[in-house]
Amino acid sequence: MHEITPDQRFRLRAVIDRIIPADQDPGALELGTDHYVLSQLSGEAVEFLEDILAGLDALDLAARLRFGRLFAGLPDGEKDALLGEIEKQPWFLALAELTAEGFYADPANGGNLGARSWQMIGYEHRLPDGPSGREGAAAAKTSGILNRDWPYPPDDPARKDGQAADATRGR
Amino acid sequence: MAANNDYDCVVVGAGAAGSSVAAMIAEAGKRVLLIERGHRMDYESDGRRDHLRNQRLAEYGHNAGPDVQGNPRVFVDARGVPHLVRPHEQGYGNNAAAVGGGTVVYGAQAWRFLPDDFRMASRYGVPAGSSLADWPIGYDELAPWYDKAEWEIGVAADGSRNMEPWRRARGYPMPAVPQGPMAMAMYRGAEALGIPTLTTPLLINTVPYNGRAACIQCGSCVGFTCPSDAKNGSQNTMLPRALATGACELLTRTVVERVDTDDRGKVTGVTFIEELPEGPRRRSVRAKAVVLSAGATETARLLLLSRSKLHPEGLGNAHDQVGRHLQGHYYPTAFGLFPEDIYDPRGPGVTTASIAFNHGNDGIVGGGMLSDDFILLPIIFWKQFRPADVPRWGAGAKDFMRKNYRRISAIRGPVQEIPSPDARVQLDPAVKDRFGMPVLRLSGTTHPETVRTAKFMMEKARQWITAAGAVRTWGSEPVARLSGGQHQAGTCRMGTDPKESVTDSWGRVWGHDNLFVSDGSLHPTNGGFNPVLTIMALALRNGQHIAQSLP
Repeated sequence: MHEITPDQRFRLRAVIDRIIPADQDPGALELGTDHYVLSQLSGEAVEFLEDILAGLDALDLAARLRFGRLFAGLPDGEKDALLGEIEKQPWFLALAELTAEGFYADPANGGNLGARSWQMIGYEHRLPDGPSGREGAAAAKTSGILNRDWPYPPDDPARKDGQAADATRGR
Repeated sequence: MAANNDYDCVVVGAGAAGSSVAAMIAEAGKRVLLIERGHRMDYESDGRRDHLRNQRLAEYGHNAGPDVQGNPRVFVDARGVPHLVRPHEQGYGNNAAAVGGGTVVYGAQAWRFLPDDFRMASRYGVPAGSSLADWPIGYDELAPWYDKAEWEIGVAADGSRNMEPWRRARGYPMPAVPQGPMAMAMYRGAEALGIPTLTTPLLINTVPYNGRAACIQCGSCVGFTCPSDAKNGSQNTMLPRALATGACELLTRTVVERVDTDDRGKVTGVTFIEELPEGPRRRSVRAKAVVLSAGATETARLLLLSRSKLHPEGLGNAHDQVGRHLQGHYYPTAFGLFPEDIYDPRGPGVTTASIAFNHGNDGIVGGGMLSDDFILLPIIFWKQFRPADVPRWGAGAKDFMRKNYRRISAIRGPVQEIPSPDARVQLDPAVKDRFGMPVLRLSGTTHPETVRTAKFMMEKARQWITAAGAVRTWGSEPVARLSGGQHQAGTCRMGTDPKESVTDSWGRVWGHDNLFVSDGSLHPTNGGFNPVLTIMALALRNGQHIAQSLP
């Protein structure tokens, strides 16, 4: 298992809080999106964990140099200014995407408590069994293990850049 | 010769085609074994609405299979670099692995192809480098089978508006889905552009039909099982009919390994692996005929896997045609931001279409249908369809979703692809699946004419949604890539010349009197429409023929 320390969780939450901040509607932390992100970073999205933890370290270093404090201790405006400077970095993009995923997906994924984000945007699920449908037998899908007979480098960078989209999502 | 057969016919794959073929053969009183690699699913057992793991957004896997683990493929990108891909990763070209195939979770658009879709080469000529070909049958041959599919599987649409282009004998068994605010906007736009509209036909019960309830208009249709069992897939229509005869047996979680042939090359049955609780078990059965309905990628794979001394390149592959001409559909999509709410919470969301641009576009080969879209799940909207300049984090990103989710809609449609012989599936020389069988290797891209048509259709979609009242439009420009996926087709195409096709006009594999293909593999071209009704109609036609030809 990949352990994330309590300190790392604390620092991660401070960033997630600014990715989808509270305003007149709940933000990511109120809907439990941080739990979704942590769970994904220990499972299906573990490939991003190392980068994100390194990014958090770099963010704290920048906060100290600029403002003399750790990121989590800054006022929101200074937090957002710092994040604005690193918003194109892959670790931050990955974290922002995971946060949006949890926040806007169905509540059974763990990041959209009470389907409150759907109330905010006006999406209606209209399902008799609630926003996540029937629990049924949908087993938790876990990240797969690459085929051991694979003769090509598994970390080939081209693998990620999406040269070809899957054909259709249209039906 | 008195061969000792276990079955009259084995059908591989219980999807749109296989279930229809099995029903036709079993209802003719013949003994059928229907083999499906996936499991049975319905809303009771698989009704979880996982917005991240479904056939519409497979961020971490599919709800209707195949499993993330144990089913790899190799995808060769445009630069020639091979990638090992899992079913939910780009380039895999997945459809589904479940009883009912993709139809258990599909969006259920029920289009007939147009008469000119069957004669693309004659109408437009063959573009250089393409393998564009006419179908060996015309629209009129398939028309009565479309009618049978529409009435016996169940389609809803407005017959009074959809009659003429298809020379329909009669209307539809069920009324169209309600036309909401987007439909009204599309009518206004179409009037301004001078193009006719029609209702989008759907294999969905808009009223109770065939002993099942009507659609409850939930907000997440495509990609999921139906909460009221009103979506007419193969699993709740043709498959129950096949099983009700008592002549059809269904094996699930069973993967066919090869089509067996004897020492003279005659097809004798199949060998398969049952995934039993106690472990996998290999078994062979004998049959008078074998029908492959595993979808355009896996059907081709099975023919290639069934190589023998007499057929060193695989069955039906003496002329290197199996696996080529792989097609799907490009889907140019124009999004539009409207000044007021355009969102209709009543699913499925698709209501209105136009076929004004399927043919006859100046300087363009073919074209495609345009329609509105299924209700977009919020996370799909976020991931795939936001304008590129919307912030990805912070107050601005959140505010965009809050203000605009209900004001955004889309016009989009499938583009008839111009096939390329280099867009293909083969067996990978090195990678094996969990049973040790060579996996598929996908390579090539579509023909450049497809991209040109897609760009043309993108512009038409943009014009329509603008005329409908959108104040801002966006969408991604089509680029050359390999198609396939849910609308996969073309890899074992029908024809009249064994050198340029894999089967005759009945799906009978050249050189084998008792081996058939029936699924999208057969389509020489794939129409500018969702292909499922054509797959069903062709399977009903061919199923009857196979039943009658069984000794």
